[in-house]
Amino acid sequence: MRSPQRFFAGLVLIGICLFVLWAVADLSQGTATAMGPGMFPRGLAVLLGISGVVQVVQSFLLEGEPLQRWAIRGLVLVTVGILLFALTLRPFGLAVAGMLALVVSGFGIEGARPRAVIAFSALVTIVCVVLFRYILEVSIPVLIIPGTGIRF
Amino acid sequence: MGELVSHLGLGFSVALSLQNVVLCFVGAMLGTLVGVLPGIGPIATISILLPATFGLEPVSALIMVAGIYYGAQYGSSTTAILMSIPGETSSTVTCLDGHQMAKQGRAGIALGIAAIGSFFAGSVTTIFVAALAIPLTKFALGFGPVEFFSLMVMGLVFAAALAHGSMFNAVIAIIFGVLLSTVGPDLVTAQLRMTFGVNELADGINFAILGMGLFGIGEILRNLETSMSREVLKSTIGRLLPGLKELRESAWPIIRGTIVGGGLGILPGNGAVLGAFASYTIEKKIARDSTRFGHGAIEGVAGPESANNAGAQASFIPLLTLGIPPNAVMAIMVGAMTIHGIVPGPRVISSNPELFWGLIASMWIGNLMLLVINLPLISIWVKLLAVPYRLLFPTIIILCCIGVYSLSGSTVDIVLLAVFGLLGYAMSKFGFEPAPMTLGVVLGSRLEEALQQSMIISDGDFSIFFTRPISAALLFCTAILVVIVLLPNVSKRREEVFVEEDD
Repeated sequence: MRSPQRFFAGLVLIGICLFVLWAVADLSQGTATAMGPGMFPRGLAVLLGISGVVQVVQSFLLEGEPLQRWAIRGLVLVTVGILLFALTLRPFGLAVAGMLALVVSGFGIEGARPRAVIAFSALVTIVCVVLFRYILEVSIPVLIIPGTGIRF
Repeated sequence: MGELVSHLGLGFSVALSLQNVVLCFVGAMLGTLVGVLPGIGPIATISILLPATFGLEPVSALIMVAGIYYGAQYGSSTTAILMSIPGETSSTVTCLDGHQMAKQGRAGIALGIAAIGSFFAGSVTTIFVAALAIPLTKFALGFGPVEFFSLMVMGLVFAAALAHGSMFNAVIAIIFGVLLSTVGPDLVTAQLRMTFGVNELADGINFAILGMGLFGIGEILRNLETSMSREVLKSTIGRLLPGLKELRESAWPIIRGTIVGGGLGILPGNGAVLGAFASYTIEKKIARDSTRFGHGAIEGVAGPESANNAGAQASFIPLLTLGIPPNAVMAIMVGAMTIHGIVPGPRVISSNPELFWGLIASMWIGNLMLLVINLPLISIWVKLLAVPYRLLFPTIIILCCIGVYSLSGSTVDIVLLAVFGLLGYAMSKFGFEPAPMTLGVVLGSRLEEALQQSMIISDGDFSIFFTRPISAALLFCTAILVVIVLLPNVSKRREEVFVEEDD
């Protein structure tokens, strides 16, 4: 194999093609004159699949890039930070969710210092609460402590 | 001519209302503010700030988005000159001589001439846009679904040809984007497609969330793996206003840059990106002493910066008259229009004349704002350049999260934000650019609709695209472009251009 990046890109494309074909399996194809809901996505998926096969074949013929390294640390912490925000916003409010997301994603960069991250996160959380809830008046819960009846 | 004046009069009466002037000002300020932050290009800036405009009336919202765009562009020129970090492809050229000027202590003059050149280019192109609007819309109003389908194909292929990296990959990214646009209800039967029971996808993928994910979060994930160590300019900014000698040296480059940038910018592909390169090449070719280039030649800043701004403005033409966004920024503009219920295309000019002419007039006001606010505030922008990335990126993340939540109060949308961020990162790891993909997403459903209607007209015969004269001509142009790009020496040149800018 001469270009691993192309090889794996091709595999992913073939995977997307198969996945879409499965996902739209129930939708009718229709005829060329009266295209059904399934025809356009199916056609595009097939095009992607063909491109994927071409990429795989090319990967053995053409010199190309190696697979790139994925920076796992930033990827995981940023994603987890956003997901935590989504999970905790409704039950606990922006003060908790924002703080969690900021702290977790803040550690996504090499050489993050714990105290600096926490202090900065607290500051940004306060600014966000004031800015969005009280200045821009976005309807977003600020702080909810379950079981105590405290809600802002 | 009289018609043009009355149209512009209508436009200015809309754009000069107190609210719209203030919004244009706020937009340009915010755009510059976010745009000069290191590692945030214009596309990311607009995506991040887009939610701020949702509560406004359509005209005001679009004027503000446009203001953000001008500001972000100016911000990216500022980082190009002061730190040699181009915020977008087209300011790469500015790095060459602009940063050299900065190192020689002439940063202020480089910034000043960039602002003056951009203002001139913007003013001329505003009139150019206004003058071309009517004839082009009239031309496009004669288009049926068959012609529109071919036109969109042409726009997408042009965009692929001018995208970064491999053209094949850009085409794949576009097809993938079109595929994403089919998520949601079918156009005819309203049957849900590929929503997997997620209510938030029942209306299709929300473009604002997609943009914030791909460009806001995705860019952060990419930046986090390169250590963002930067060389902040040590020498002083120096005086801002260029002297007579410098103005004389820059006058013709500015005029030539405006013509080149404006001309290339109206192409339905991303022609604007070529303007700055073309202008730099021209200036270097006709200069008496071309060895000065790369060592702080003012023509090498004045020309490309004007071309860049002229191109940015001219790229509104295909969007406003034909409804075809030529680049990712215009695609986000479409997203903003759709949110307000405006379908971009040749009908906007007659159905929403205030919006159309107001937006055009606001281009000129936006450029004036940049000149008036940015030069005096340059010392603040310079301080912003020094903001460390470790503080910046969590802040952007939280702003994106809150922005997405404020769209419709759904936490599932925030999960989608993370998914699109991962998608943007994964694409770049496999050598695909997210920018052409967004064009596919934006044009996808109209592409499908045009195809469906064409097939009804032709009774299922695909040859209709080659037998209708306008459609055939458009596809013929597309084919010629593909052949040109694939010619061995052109494709080699194309790679060189894009390698040069990657440094």
